[in-house]
Amino acid sequence: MSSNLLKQLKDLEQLASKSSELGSLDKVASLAKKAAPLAEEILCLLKKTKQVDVQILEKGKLAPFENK
Amino acid sequence: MSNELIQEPKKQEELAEFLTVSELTQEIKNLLEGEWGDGLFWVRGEISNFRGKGSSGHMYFTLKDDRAVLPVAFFKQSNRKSKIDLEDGMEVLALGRISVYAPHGRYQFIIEQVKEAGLGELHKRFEELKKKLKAKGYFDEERKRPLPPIPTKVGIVTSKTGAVIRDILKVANQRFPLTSILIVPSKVQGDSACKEIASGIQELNQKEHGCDVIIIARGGGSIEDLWPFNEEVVADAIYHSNIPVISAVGHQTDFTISDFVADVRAATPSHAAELLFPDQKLFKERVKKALSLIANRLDHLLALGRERLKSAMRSPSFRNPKILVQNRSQQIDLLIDKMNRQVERIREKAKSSFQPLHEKLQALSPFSVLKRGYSITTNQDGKVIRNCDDVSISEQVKVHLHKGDLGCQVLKKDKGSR
Repeated sequence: MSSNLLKQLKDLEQLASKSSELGSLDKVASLAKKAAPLAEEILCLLKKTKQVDVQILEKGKLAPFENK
Repeated sequence: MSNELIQEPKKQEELAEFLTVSELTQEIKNLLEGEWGDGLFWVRGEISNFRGKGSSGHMYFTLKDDRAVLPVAFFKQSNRKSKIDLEDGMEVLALGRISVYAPHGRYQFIIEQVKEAGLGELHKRFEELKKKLKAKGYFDEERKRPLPPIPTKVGIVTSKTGAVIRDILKVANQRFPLTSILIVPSKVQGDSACKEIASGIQELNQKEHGCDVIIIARGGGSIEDLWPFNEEVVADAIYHSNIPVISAVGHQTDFTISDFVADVRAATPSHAAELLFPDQKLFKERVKKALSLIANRLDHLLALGRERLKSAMRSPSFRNPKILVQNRSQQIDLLIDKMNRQVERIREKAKSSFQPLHEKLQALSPFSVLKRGYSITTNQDGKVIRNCDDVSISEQVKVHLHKGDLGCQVLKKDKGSR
């Protein structure tokens, strides 16, 4: 989940960087259309995840670990 | 202590004959201090669990050897004369007297004077192993790996109970809850702890767990408590780990061998979590920054467009487009005139060059001959008749004159002299 988030963030930053090189309003507008849902997705993911998923490996067995 | 005190009370009223805790402690104090008198004596031992000067200026620690520990108080009026900076692991000779501290119900050694007696055994072992591992390249900066910018899965080797794991989880939840954590529980003090810690590091290196960083952690304690992290087996496990390792052992002032071998040393377990987990606020800021970059670019291009539009609106053509049409219409008229003149010139030129040829052609034309009174005779097929043998008597022929044609019939043929 976090690696996907990083990729999305990098994609978004790449779009932003590309926009600064473009001189056409149409092209920048089309780029903004791609960037908006990407940003929304990242912010949603950050908002909805409240707790780290924790597991414990004890005697060779994986089990959830209480995280409060 | 008198024997009658050992006997059990038979009645409630006899309870008054029991000693209180204070009285018993005082008895012990009198006994102990009386036995040893007020005389001062020297004790040799290693300083451990040193608590430096607080606001009171007193110092408290324990002196120990391999079999026993002795609680020590080094009060302000005595320790201010001391020129030695005391610390854990230091081997000292302490001059003092034995006493009982009643509120805690324990005996202690009150120091008057202290002398350094060389490094303690644990310190010696620490320094020897540090030297050995340094020579083997375990501490080389070149082999230290950076931490992942965003950890996907964090392996933690520590005690599953206690404050350390809770502190780490608290920081992780606050800063970056999108990550996941795998705990391999381990003892963090005592003889078998070092093997468990090393085994935990090796376990977390298994690819199936998918960890991209490991934290080994424990809270503060004496040098003995932290000792497992000074064992070679732990150093080896860290050194051979394919995954970066953060060593977060004790407090900021505690240094262990694992701190030197690890890719990153954190002052405390909470600090390790802060180093590792990116603050999600930074993510939000990066998203906002990227969006505002695009928005600014759009604004800039829109402003440029508006400026160009304004400039165009100010031009005469936009203010009075009729003028533009009139100008263009006039231009078209001029071009048509020019074109007509050009065509006329070409025609005249062609005419003058074709005139002599035309006259020559006229002169050679059979119609000019017909004009002079000659005629051309053709048969029904239009073939010119040059010889009277080309026709038969009664055959219909056509005679072409300068003006008009005659339909004729051959009545007679005369070959003549030609």
